[in-house]
Amino acid sequence: MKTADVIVIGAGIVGSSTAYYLAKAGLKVTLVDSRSPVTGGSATQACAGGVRQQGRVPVEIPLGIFSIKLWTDLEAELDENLEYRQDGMTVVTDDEQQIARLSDRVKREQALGLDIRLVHNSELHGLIPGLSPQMRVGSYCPTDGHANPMRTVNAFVVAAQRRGVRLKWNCAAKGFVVENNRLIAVKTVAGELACRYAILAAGYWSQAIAAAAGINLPFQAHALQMMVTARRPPQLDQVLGWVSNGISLKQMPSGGFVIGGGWPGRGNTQTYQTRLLPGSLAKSARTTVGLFPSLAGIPVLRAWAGIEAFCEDEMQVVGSVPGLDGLIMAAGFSGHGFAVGPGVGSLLAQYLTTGELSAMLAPFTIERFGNDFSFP
Amino acid sequence: MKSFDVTNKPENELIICRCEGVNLGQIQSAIKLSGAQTVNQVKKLTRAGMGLCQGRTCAKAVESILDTEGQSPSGTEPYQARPPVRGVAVAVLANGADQFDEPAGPVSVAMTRGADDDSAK
Repeated sequence: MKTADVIVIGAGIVGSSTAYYLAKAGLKVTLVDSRSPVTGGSATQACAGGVRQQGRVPVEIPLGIFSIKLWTDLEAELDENLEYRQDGMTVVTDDEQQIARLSDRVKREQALGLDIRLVHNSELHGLIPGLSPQMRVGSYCPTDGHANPMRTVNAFVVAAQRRGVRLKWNCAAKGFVVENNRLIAVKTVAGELACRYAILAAGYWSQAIAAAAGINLPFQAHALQMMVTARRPPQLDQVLGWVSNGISLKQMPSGGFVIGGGWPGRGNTQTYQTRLLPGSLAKSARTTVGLFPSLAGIPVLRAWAGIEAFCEDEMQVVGSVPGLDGLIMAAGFSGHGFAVGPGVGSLLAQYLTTGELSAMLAPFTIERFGNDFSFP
Repeated sequence: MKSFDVTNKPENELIICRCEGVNLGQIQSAIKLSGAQTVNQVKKLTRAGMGLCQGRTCAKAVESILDTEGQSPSGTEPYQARPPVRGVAVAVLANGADQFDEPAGPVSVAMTRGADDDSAK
């Protein structure tokens, strides 16, 4: 199995990290992308760059913890500055009704091994100067943080290439060649590429590629909006969230504040073009002022959006496809793939070299949709 | 603090994007080592064009560097145009919020559900 050929489809955070870890494990890898890394319209290059463990669905917490351990050493691993900061994240609330539920989540996550605790009132405000005084309680995880998504993808790609991964850009995958229920090649616009395994990590565009092989990936595309402000001297170390309000707020090393929160824009999945809804800009801005009032006067310099694939249950699809030996899914990360990208890549490399899928990936099986996997 | 004295500097330290302090060497690296082919890719990898003037000052220079490095055909793709046309204070954007019915709220995603997620998944 060590010299098996693997084609990784898609050079976002999941594909680029998977290609890297596969090559590190000694496999012969080709990484293809329909365009090239860090082009517009797709998910990773538009994402908020959050690297967090808290707030995930409970079955994903172990994967989150594992991935953050990789993040901790990732800059050394890739020999590159990723602007990675592990200065904590706190999700706050000003709502009495939410405090008990926040507390329950924290207890659940502590039981899963996460270093997280509730912080109240003066401790909360001591940790986060500038936080709106109305906030009362927060779930504080000191090992959450953020990084630069474009630098991270680029670093994985460059490091993968150094380890012998062949890069093929402007090479869109169209489908698969299957014989006797076994994958033998990926069909691309540049012809068929023979392989033992293919890993489908093309974000939303995985759906059409999988459909060509008769596999249904129940994805919906959402173009989520982001904003970035002018620079200020460093005044916010942590990433902030606000229960039941759409916001993620962080300050980048370069000084600007990056504002996310799941506000929808509009995207065209054929052209990769996205456009912004003014209502989302306005409501996102209103939420920002409510969370961190001193940002009221700071100019927003730019807004953007990228297209992300969401599953109905908001969990990714990772793992083999029953009845089709060699095809592995790794897509549908529903707005939270950046943090777990390195973890997924590492565990998929482990899967292909040992034949055993980690329990951390088991919940994301395609079999959970109950589809019929009988291939002609 | 980045120095803006470009006299007597080796060529690759020449500042191209003055808002973000990105120099010629960094842009050449993005093109030669990371395979950037367009101004948008150079921007995303180096921050050239991400600052206060949003590329108004450095765009031509970045295009001509791409030209020089042989990326001419793709190098003519313009910077992606995005709102706002110029900086707008967060509070000014926020003041307009009530006039919009759409969207009703953020897309329901796990990251914003936070403590609301009582599912046993």
